[in-house]
Order: sequence, then C-alpha cells, then structure tokens
Amino acid sequence: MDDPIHELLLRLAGRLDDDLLADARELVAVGEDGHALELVTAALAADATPLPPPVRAELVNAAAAARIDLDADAALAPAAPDTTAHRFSATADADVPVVAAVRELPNRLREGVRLRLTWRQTPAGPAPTPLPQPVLLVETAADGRPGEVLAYQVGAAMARSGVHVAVEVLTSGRPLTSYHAAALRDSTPLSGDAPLRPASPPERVESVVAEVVQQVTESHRNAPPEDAHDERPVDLFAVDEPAPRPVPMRGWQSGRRRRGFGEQAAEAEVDDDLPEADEHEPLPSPVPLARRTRPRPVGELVEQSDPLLDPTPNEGTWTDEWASGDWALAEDAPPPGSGGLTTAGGSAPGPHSSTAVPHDGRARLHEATPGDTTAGPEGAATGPLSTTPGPTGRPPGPFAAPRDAAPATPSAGPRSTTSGPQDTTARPTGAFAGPHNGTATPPAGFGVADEAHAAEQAHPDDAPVGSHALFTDQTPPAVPHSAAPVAAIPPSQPPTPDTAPPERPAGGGPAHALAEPPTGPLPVIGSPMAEALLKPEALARLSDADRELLTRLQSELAGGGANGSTGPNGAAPA
Amino acid sequence: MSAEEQAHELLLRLVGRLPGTLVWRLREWLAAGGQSSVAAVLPRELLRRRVGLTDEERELLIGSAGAWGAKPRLLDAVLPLPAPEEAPVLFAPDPVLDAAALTALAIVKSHPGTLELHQARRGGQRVLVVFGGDAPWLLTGTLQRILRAHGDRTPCVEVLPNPDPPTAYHRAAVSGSAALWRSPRLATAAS
Repeated sequence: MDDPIHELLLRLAGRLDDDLLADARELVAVGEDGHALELVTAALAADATPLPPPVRAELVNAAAAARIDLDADAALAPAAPDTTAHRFSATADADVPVVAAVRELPNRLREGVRLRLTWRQTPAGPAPTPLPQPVLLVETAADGRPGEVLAYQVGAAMARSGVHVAVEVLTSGRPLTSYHAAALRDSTPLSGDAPLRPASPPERVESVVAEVVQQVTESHRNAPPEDAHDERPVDLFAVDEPAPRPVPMRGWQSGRRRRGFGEQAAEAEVDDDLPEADEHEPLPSPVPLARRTRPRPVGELVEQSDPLLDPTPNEGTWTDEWASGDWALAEDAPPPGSGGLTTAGGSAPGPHSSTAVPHDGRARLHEATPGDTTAGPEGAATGPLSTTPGPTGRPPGPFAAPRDAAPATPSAGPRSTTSGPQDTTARPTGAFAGPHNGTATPPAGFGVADEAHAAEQAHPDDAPVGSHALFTDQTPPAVPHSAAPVAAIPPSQPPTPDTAPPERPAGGGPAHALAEPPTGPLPVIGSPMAEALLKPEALARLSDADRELLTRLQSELAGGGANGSTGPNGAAPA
Repeated sequence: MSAEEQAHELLLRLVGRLPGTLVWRLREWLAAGGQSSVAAVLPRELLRRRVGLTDEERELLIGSAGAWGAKPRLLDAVLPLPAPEEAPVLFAPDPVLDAAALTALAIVKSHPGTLELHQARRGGQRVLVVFGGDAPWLLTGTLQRILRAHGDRTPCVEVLPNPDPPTAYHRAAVSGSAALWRSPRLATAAS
C-alpha cells in the first residue's frame, strides 16, 4: 500500500515542477509527510494553480491533517476543472544518456519493476526546466516497494548519473491519472527487470548495451536498427491499461503478463483483457492518432522499441487503441479490428509505423497467414502450418484454407527449410519474404486467405479465432507470411483498408497489442537498404536479433508498398 | 520598506545559509505573490535547519513573514544570532555571454532602475548579480525563470537594491564576477 501522500503527489504530477515533486517524494519517503505537504501546498498556492475539486479537497485535508502552517483551503486557488493537457513523445534527442543512465541503475532498483521512458513536451509548474523533460515511468507491484521510496531512490540514482529525470512510480492496480495515461501512451518501454526475463542470456544482455545506444542514436539518424525480440521482457505496461479517467492498472502479479518472444503462452490474456475495455471511456489522446499513424518520411523519427535492449511490443499501439475505444469493439465483435487483431498485425503496424492503408494491407497479409503462423508456438512452423492447430487447440477454422494454401506455394519451400524447429531461423526468413511478397506480388493463393479473412469477419466465432491468432502471431510470423501472401494474393488485389479503421488499422485494443509481434515502431527504411539487407549472404551473417529487425522492417516496407519499396522484397532469400 | 522588500532583503542575507534549492523557491513564491507561502515555509525552514538570525534579520522576518500571517510562536522560536555567519565562498568571473546570459541581459536592461549586471561562477554554478532595480523581488523571479528555462535547476540571482553588498557572500560574488553590462546612467553619474 502506497503512502496516501504519494498517491496525492501522483495526482499533482504535471501541476508542479518536477524538482519540487522529486523533493516532496523524497520527504515522503523518509517520513516527512508534513514537510512535503507544506512545500507542495505553498508552491501551488503561490502559483495560484487551479486544482480539480477532488484533488484540491484531498490536498486540503492532507495539509490539515499534517498541521502545516499554511491554511491550504484559503491559500489555494479555487477549484477548477482540469484543463491542463500535457503532451508526451516517446523519443527525444537525449534518449541515449537517459537510457544509459537507466541501465546503470542498481539491480536492486530494477528488480520487479517495469520501466518506460517518455518525454514531456509541455512545461510543468511556473518555472519549468528545458523541454522536453524526460519522465521515467516505473511500474511496481502492489506488494512491491513503496512508490515514494522507489521514486526517490530511482531519481537519486539517475541524478548521480548526471541525468535529471522525473520519476513517476505507478502501482499495479491503482488508478491512472490522465497525466500518467498520456505519458504511458507515448512512451518507450525499457527493460526494467532482469528477473522477469530468464530467457535472456546474460552475455546477450550485455552485448546489447552498445547495441541499444547505437539503436537510439541511429534511430535519430533515421537509420533504425532493431534489437532482438527474443529477449523482450514481459511488458507489464502493455498488459495494464492506461486510461483517461482513473482506470486501475492491471495487476501484473496476477500472472497475466505478456510473454516475451519465445515464451508465448499468454493466449488467455486477450479474453481477460477485452471485457474491461468497454468499462472505460476512450482515452483522450494528446497526440492525434492520425499524426501517429500517418506515413513517416524517411527522415522522421519514430518511436523505438525498447531502447534498453528489450524491445517490447509497442505499447503505443494498444494505448492508441485504448484511446479510440477500438478495443472495446474488438471485444464484442471482431470487426474492423478483428482483422488487425488476428493478424497480429502487429508485426508491422506498430502505432508508429505507417499509414492506415499500408497497415491494412499488412493486416490482410497477416491475416491470411495468421492462423497459420500462429499455429506454431513460435509461428515458425512452416511446413505443418496448415495442419498445426493453434496453441489454443482451436481448429483452423476460417484460416484453414489460407494455411493450407500457404505451404503449398513454391515460396513455402525455402521457408520450411530455413525454419525448422528454431523459430529464430525461420522468422527472419519469413520476414524477408513474407510481407513484402505479399504486398508486392500478390499471388493467387492469398486470395483464399483473404476470403478466409472475409469469412472470418462475417462469422461470429471469428473473435476467438482472431484472438487465438493474435497470440500465436506474436512471433514474427514472417515465415509463413512470406510464402502464403506471395502466392495467394491476386496481383490485382491491393491491400485494402476495408477491414481496419484508418487510424488503427493494426487492430483494436490491448488484445491486439498483446498479439502484436514484438515489434516496435519502425522507421521507414529505404528500399535499397532493405535490398542489401535481404541478400542471402548478408542474412547468413545476421543474428537472430537482426533477423527480427529485418522482419519488422519488411513489414514496414510491405505496409508502405505504395511507394514501391516492396520491390526488393520480392526477391526473398530462398 | 515594504514587506516584499524586507522579505527580499532577508532572503539576500540568507543566501549561503539556507540551501539554494530552497532560497530560489522562496524567491519564486515571493515574486509570484505567494506571500502566505513564504510566511508559512520560511520560519519553519529556519527552525528545521537551526539557522539563527541576527536582530536586524529577525526584524526583517517579522516585517515580512510576520505581516503575512506567520505564527508569532514560530517567529519567536528562531534562534538568535549575535553576528552574521559568513562562510568563505569562492567565485570566478564568467564573462561568457551565452544564451542564458544574453536573455538575462535583455531583461535587466529593460527593467527600471537597474545599474549593472555581473556574472560569476561558484564552482560550476552560474551566479548573476544585479545592482539596482525597482521591485527587485520581481526581477529576481523573472531572471530565475529564465535561468531555469536554460537548464539551471537552482538559479542563483542576487539583485542588490543598494550599492553596498549586504553580506560577505555578495561582496565575494561582486569582486569575483565579470561585468556584463553597465547602465549609461552609471557612467554619466561617474563623470
């Protein structure tokens, strides 16, 4: 149970300058609640900061209980509705030092928490420091360390590294303020807890440190690298729902957590998540959805996946979906989102990726293969795709046709050869061939997939199927995609945005986010680069992580097929 | 002397004796019109940190915080100090006109009554010293915000309404600073 004063300070975030908040949290952490309230109340009174009635009342009561000298009720400005809307962005030029400082955090502070980084673009308090202001979002368990203590310790540790970052500790199961919901919506996941990713070999983790820095740096140069999905830690934030109104974050201890790559077993999560969707109003997005989903020029920065090293599926997507309420839709009926969901469209369609249309295109592609890919736990099962039931044991259903068709295509051969039991090998390969082929040279077989998709949408039972596909599709389903799409889609059939809403073609909701492949937002990459990367000799030298990256890149390219970037992908490595 | 002037004068004298993070914030509140905030916090902080006041300083406290509603019991509890505590402080002149200094210069030049702007470094910390200026607490608040916006988390701005530095701290700051600007009025008066 967090200190109530800490909870109050959370509600004051964005209304006070970050330094004062940090000081107050430190005071609360050491038991000086009265002192903290005195400073906070005095600052708010001096600046005549209007507070929403409940927050003001809570502060007045707390100040009175602490017996501070200031008459809070008289000194504070009259209560007023909250009109302050802070804007955040997931990336900034100063990502590298902040991420490096986070990596330097003592293990004790990183254990059992989830970290996300965002940059506030709007000032807080009357004397703000330069913008953007880095904000480190820390999620801790309800029975974890007290939030105020964690905030103090993390903030102090970061300051020792020379990085002044606002630390907001959010406790699972507690309501989120609009400030924190907005911050979460546009944040980048950081790998917070080593214990939660046992699959990550230590040496691997270490090796990624430099890689992470490079990633962040390169992303700012618009030459986006990506890291391996296999090491992606469970992303608690992804499971929890940031919401506009206080919406309880889902307790991650409950066991419902998103599986990292390679440990996909979170099938039930979708069903668990969806029901809660319609209980809340859509999240007012400080950043217009259209802005985040429009095609990005090559030179434009995009959100990165976990810069620390563990690329967590892009939360932006699901938060966006949250905002739009699509995930509520997905719950009731799979409709527009269903396609995206099923497809796990994920892979490509990170919130940061491209336009809706490309997404749709990809979604459809994935959809065709979705079931397929998803069939195997790793989505790697190439050959047996058609026959392999999903992890949930559900029959292929509407996806049977696509699945069957996929392996039959000539392009399926290579995939199966490369895939084998190691999803890692398979994924990359598929990635290269899949999405791109699908968009570039839509073969006939895929038409079946599409039809299946259509049938799926028409079917009431599609929702479950889609959900199933979502999870299984978490793995870069590229492999199956490569074959199926290429062979199936009729050349004349362009990717159609019909099944997904323009803003969020990828799908609709937390469920979709969960299903999304561990891809983060991908910067648009030029087709020459993709072509070079896709050469077999180059592929042979790639690590799994690199292949994952390429998978996602290809997905991006497939989505932007309109600009002709799909060309090189047609020549997928055999 | 108004309550605001007394508060400003008292805060000048408390520089180096109270944490800089607290001093700048008290000045910010004073500039923003948060007299009750200053009255509530300043006496408490003096007591918490066992910072004593000379009789003259105590008068300034009573004339400001006392006038704004500070509890007399708290004001009486502040430790008496026979003589000002003056710890040695080293300053280095900083003649560099970076963006923050240029912005501060523009503000100082346009503020009525200002005579000089000096800049020094105490360690790595920038210290701006302004001579003259009407409503010095307001000018202080404005300059602090400017420095904060330029990344100085704990701005040190000393606006001295009188030509004579009030404390050893300010004497050292003035002697160890570089003049960035002098009012033409000052040159005229000198000639």
